[in-house]
Amino acid sequence: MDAFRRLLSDRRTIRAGQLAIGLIFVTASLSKIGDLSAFAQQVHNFRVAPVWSENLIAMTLPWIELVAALSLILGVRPRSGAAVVTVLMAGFTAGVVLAMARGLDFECGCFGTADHTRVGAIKLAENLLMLGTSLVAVRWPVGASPSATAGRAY
Amino acid sequence: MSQETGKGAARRDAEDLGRAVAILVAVGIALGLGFNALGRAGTPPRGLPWIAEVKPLLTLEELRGRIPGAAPAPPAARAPVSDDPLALSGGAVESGAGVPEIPDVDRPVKIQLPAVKKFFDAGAALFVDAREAADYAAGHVRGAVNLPFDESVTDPERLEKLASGGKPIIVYCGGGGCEVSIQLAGALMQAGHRKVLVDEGGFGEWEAAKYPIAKGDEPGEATR
Repeated sequence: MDAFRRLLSDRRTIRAGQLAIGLIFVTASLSKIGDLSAFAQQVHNFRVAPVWSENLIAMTLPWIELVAALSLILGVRPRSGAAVVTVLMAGFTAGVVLAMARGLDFECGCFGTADHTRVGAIKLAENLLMLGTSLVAVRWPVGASPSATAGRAY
Repeated sequence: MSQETGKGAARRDAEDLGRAVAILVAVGIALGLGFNALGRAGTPPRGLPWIAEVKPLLTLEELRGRIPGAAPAPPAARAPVSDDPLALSGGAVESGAGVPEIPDVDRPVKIQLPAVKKFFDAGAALFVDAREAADYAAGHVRGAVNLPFDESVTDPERLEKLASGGKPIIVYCGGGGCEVSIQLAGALMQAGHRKVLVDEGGFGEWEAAKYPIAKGDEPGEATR
């Protein structure tokens, strides 16, 4: 357990996790920005927001993803980037769980039109893995000592 | 004292993180709104309307009276009251062939299994299966053609080329809240088709009712 904890708090592990999550989010956000209409439809499919707000979500969410991803990749305020990614991933995961519970069957849209994965167990597992990685990046942000109680790399 | 200091530091830390997160989110929102505004100002205009238009699918019964031109037919043309569980609910107007008359409106219309079966029996509609090819091959409404929604996105010409022979188009997917039939129905209307219907119960309901199905890649004979 200690070894696992040491691995998780190792700067190289965290940096690799930050880069991986950052690159995934950059890809996802650019794909959505490239076809906002399709992403708006995918937002609609989840049926978790009022219809009037779906376009506003579709036009702003990918840019929030992009800014958070760049902060992780560039290491500029990576902890805040990781916190945003964590909140987004928690929201996406809740959306997938709700959709599964309601028996909805549609493409996730997690990577815009580039992702044909349907909502289901595989998508849920992917999301949980990314959620875990982003949580680690919040807990031990690179730029602060792993032993520090809280980082300064907001 | 040191505990107090520790708590104070933790609070300041949380406040700093919160502030940094708020700035990051605000930057993202500003970029998103700005990008959309630029798109809408461009030629040709791109980007999304600021507020999404609410255009829910309606049933035939809901449509009548709401849409100009879809007013109820005179009482003589109305379906007779019946105890037949396959009969349409009251208010649906039937044509001479015993199938409901479909108003020409700007959106797909929802229909239920009894009406779907009437169209099938009369051969009065083109059935389109919006599911993946593998699902279609495992079993589909006999005579239905396969047009997976995903492929219609990557190959929009398939939508335009779909030959309905002037009949209404009934789109279905697996049922149970599946969305691809609604999405495909919308895409078909955008491609210029009219009188597009969405079978709400989908293939699950059709199969459970033991109505005619076919297996394999071919539509199969659309006869009873």
